Amino acid sequence: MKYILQFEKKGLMAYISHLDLQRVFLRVLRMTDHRPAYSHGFNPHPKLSIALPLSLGFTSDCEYLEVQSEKPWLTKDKDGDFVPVLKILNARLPKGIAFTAIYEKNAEQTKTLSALCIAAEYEMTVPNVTIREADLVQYLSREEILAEKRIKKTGKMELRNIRPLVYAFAVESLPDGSGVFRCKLAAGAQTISPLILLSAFFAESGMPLDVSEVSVKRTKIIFP
Amino acid sequence: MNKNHAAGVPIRSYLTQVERPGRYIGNEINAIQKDFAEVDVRFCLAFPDLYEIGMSYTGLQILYGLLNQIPYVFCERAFAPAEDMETLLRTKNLPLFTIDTHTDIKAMDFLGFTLQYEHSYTNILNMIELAGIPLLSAERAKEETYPLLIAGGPCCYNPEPLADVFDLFLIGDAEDSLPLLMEIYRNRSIKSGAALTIEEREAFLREATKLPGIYVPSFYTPVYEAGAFHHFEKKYDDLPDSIEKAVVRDLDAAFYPEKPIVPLIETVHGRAVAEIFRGCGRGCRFCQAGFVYRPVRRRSKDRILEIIETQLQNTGYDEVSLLSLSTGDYPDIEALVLELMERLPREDVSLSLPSLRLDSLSESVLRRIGEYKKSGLTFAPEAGTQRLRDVIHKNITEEHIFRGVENAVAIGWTRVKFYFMIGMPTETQEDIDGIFDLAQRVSAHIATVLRETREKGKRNFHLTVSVSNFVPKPNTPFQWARGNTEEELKEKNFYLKDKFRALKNVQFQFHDTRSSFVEMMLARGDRRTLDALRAAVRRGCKFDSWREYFHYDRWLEAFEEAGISVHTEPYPDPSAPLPWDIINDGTEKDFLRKQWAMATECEI
Repeated sequence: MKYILQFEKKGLMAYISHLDLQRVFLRVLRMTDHRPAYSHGFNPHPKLSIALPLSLGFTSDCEYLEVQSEKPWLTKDKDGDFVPVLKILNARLPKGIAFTAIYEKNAEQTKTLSALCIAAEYEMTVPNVTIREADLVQYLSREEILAEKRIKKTGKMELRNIRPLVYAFAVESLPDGSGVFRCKLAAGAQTISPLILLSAFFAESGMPLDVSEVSVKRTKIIFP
Repeated sequence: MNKNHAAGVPIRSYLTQVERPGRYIGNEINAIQKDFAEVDVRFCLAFPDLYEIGMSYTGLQILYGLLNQIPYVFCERAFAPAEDMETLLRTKNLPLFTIDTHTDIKAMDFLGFTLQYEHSYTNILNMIELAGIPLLSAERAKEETYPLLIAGGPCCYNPEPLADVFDLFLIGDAEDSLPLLMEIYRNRSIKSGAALTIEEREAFLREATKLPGIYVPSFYTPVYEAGAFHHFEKKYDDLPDSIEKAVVRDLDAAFYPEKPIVPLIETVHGRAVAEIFRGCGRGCRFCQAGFVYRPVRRRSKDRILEIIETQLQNTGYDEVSLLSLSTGDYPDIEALVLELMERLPREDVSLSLPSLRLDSLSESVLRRIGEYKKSGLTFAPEAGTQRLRDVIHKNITEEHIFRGVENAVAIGWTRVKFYFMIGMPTETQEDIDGIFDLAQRVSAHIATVLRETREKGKRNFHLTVSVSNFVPKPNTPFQWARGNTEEELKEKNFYLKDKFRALKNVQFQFHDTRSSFVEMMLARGDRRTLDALRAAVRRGCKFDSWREYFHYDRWLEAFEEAGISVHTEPYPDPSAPLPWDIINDGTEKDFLRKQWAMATECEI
């Protein structure tokens, strides 16, 4: 049985890394009757994975954990009520991480969620900034946007054209003077950090940007 | 109720700028949050090393749980910040904070440090400085706003190097005394209605001295004669002449964490741990823990099993370990191990059984242990010859060692580690060579056994020989011993290293001699040692147990600046007073003298 659990990652939990979070989930599942299945072999490892890594410091409304289980979780108790899996797990999770939905994965779908995901949406809040929507539209109309990007294979920073990875980019100015940038970017096989796009845009516009002041939230992961 | 400080430290916006920010955010599974308005006492438990180290230490979990189960106390934690965080705090002019609520440590009623090893002293000084708290209790006594500084842990058996820093030491077991201390503080602070005045603090400290194990060093002024410690002058006549350590008699009734904090980031150990007994009945003459944790107090088998099972349910851990000074000496060890294995399926949980005595276990238990995944196995012969093992009172013979290793190999262990020490009293060249000889004979013997059994997959046997440098410790029979100089230790280590090159399947490891030498200087220090510690901290010494941070040259300069001669034998005369005589750990000084005489008579 495979389950997909949607979760949010908020507040201080933004500072827990991908691998650490996977370990936290494993421990919480092991605290309950909802244990993951383990691979067989000399060093059995639990069958659970998070669909898309989230950069350290980002929060998110909608992450996905995929878990394989030996026995069904979505069962009814003796009174005929569904066992409140989410409630049981959430009671044990640290504040800031909570499961928000559970789905049983279609048994015919053999690809993992991380192989399936194609794009993600982000919201970046920058304090004290004035940007006109038109500047963004003009920026996006280019065929080429060059930005420094870490190349997975070599680990080095290289200048690449990131335009094909940007599907949408918009801004909204808030009354408190901050700007909320929303973007939709490629994710999965080809990934780009929203901060790379934002930094490139600010550099192009000749405006200073302190990325440590930008709060970034992933709002959606998109599957086909 | 120390509420004089605006307490929040705005650390959050900087967290992306440091490595492993998970160290500083608290909020782990099973961590406790309380409403500030509803508690009377705020306590910060400080561990003078990184989060990953501190959170792997069971003592911290005991104290954290013990204090937080008192409804009116909120206990939080602080750790030594890593270098990047320290730089950030200093450049942004931010104080050290609790990881649980990011509160300024100055807003606490108590700041408690655990003294685990001498090499953490510089971190303690550095953390107090980062907290913006004056180092000396005498300086703090002039103002009302600072927390009370308290320390506990094994190094408190010689509290003198840090005696001018701490307001109180808790010597011995905290389980009974610490809650009592909280109670008398609370009563006084409720009566006072605000932070205790200077007079009220003094009265609180005086009342505290009535509790078992509480030492208030500012009430005792050392008197030196001819440059050597002679005696203490007491501030009040009714103060005890010596501080009797606090002892918990019944471990089954004592507090033990069943819902320990589960760190969100990877730490050194993440596992369920049950302390199976406290104390050690062996009496190895070099071993401080063996003396200061006396008498032996056992936890019952049922209670141990209950602790392990509850901890597993509350943590989701997949590893279990037993904690004590010598697991193999638990009286009912076979039954305990069998029952643990019965209850913990090996597909689900790995079991680590440190310092088991494999020479004394029965076939059937050995076979069962063999079914579990095996990590390294360690033996501690400590000395290379039987003569020296007799001197140090290590009751282990070659027969034990050979049979133990044989059994280990038979049930599938492939990695075995031997611990030895160099620089112990009466040591000769023969003893040093003995380390090599023993390792050589054991590895040759195992090679023969393996050839004879010809079992596939069991052919690779790795022996690691780890040599550490003997450091004479207070409250042991060897407290009068001459320690080796750094040069002596180095020469012996390199001699062995050279010799071990000939043994291909034996790996030889040794410890930094310079670091051991500084440990030696601190372990038997007196109140004047603090000058050297401060000078070392001024020179940037910290994280001295981390090789990359240890600076021997700075330490030598610090000792010189403090006017402390670098010596190996501060107390050659067993009849002379010792600065730590004030601590009564339950062992008579005469007994230690006799043990010391017996050891040196073995010399022949």
